[in-house]
Amino acid sequence: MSVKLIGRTTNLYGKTLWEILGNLRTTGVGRLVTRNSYDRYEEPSFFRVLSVEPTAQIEDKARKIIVHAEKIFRGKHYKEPVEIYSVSYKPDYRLIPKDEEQLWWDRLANCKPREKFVPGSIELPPLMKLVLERDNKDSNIKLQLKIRGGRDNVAKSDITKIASYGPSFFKNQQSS
Amino acid sequence: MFALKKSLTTLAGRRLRGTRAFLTEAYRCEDVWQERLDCSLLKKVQPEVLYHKLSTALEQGSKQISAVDLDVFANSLTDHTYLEELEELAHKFRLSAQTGTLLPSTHHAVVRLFVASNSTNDLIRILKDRLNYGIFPDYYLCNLLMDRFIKENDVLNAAVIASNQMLQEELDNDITKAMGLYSCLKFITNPTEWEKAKVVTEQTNDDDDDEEDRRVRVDFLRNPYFDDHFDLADGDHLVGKTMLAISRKIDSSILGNSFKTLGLAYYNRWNDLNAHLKKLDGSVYLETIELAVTAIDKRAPENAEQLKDTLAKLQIENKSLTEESKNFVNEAVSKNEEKEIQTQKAIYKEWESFRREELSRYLEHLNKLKRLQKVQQAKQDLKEKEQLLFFFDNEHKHDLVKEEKLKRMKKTVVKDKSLKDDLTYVPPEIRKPGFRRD
Repeated sequence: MSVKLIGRTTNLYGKTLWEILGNLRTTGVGRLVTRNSYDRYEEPSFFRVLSVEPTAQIEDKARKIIVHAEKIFRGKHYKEPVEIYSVSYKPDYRLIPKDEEQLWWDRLANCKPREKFVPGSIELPPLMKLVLERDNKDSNIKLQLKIRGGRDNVAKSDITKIASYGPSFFKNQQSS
Repeated sequence: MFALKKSLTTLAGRRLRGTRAFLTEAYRCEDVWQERLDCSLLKKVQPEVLYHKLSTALEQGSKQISAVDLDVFANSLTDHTYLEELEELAHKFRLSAQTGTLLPSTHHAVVRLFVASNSTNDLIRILKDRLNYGIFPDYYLCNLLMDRFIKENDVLNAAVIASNQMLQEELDNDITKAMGLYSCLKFITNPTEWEKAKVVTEQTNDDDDDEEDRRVRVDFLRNPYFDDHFDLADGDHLVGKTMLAISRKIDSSILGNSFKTLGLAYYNRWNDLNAHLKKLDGSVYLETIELAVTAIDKRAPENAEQLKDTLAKLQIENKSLTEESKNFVNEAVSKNEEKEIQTQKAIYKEWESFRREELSRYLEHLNKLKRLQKVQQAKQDLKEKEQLLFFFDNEHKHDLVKEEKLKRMKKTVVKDKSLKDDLTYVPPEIRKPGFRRD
């Protein structure tokens, strides 16, 4: 009798963290692990496992574990170790073989820090501009743009650039 | 004269058996290992009672046991009577949240017990199923196990131990490296079936083919993935990868070249093998080419002919690979054996005191928990008493609390009703985030 599994599909491929670390003696402390979904970035992103604390296995579900790890994300080495718990069940991880470890550290050392410049201000919305022009008021006002703070946001504002409401502006907006 | 005669007879005996052990009897540290039983703690243990206690603790109540308890149970056993119980406890312990605290002596106790009671197949099954049992041999145990299996001419299991160590990528011990190579070589010279159980499962599959598919609901479907490491199931691939991994770590060039060639051939890395052969300028030992050709014939890759040609052109060192790897093992053993025996003895001694300390720490922890519980209970009792004695002083307050409770109850009831009865309710339309309007 063959078993047919029914469930939601994902784009993830790989193993869960437990399937990797549970297979290793001393639960892989000191080893490097990376996520396959990080392959989309050209900068190296990986974890160095510092400590592992498994949780109990619940029936057939993928086992979650609490892992404390040094995180390197897109070439940036985080100062504080991070805790991986809620995403540890995702079948998305991959173990880095010991003889490739040096390669990853070298890649990290040789990787250029990410740079991204965004416009510092934006012109008035089109309709607003029309209204102001009709009323013979100054329509040449620029609105300041703020950069959202975020751990991985490396964007810097470039004051010389001015964003405009071209057709491409609406392309990336989410419908709400 | 007598001594000479004795040594001659033992030599002859060894020749008759065909294979001999590499490690001496002293390497097993049997006497020091047995000394653990002298400890008053382990003497007191009654395995049956302890097993009963532990298994009920795992099934009821907190559903977890302490690693020290398991260690004491494993260490107190001396014969095969409680093997199944030990296996069951180890499995259940592995599934519990405590699994990270397993003491190092438990690994030794389990492996040694299974070896002593000759249940090799069970032991191999446990060592292979790392996720479910979590028993990992260290270098010392690996050496011990491989030596034993080689002595018993059980090369398959010796190769399994070597490949397990490759999966751990722990190959820094000289004896382990040398023995791993030797057992892999022995395995490929007389290959046997890697997995015996496979045939049985296939048969059961055929019988039930007529029945309908059983559908199982899961949260997410797993995409097919092969990590080329833990997922390796083919014996040849495992052995090949092991030889390849060890060959990178040894200094001897001819031996390293030979095993690298063999490793790439058995791991079926044809392109890498081709590149390696082209670059190779040293020589290889006698059997290498023959064995590599067998591997190529078995899998028949596209560039088989070309590979065979390049193989045939290799320079050959006129020495037997088996003999040379045997010598390599002997060399490693004679160099490191004494040192390892001493360290292992020290470790065993250390564990004895460590176990006692750990146990007393655990008992202290339990006592603390008990005392805390008592205090909590006393507090609760006092509170209840206070409520009873001063009820009329605080009547107003109690009324307020009561009112609040009633309000909350009413609210929930109304909410439930309205949801069920409201026939005009239309669920809101959910748009996917990221929906783009072009």
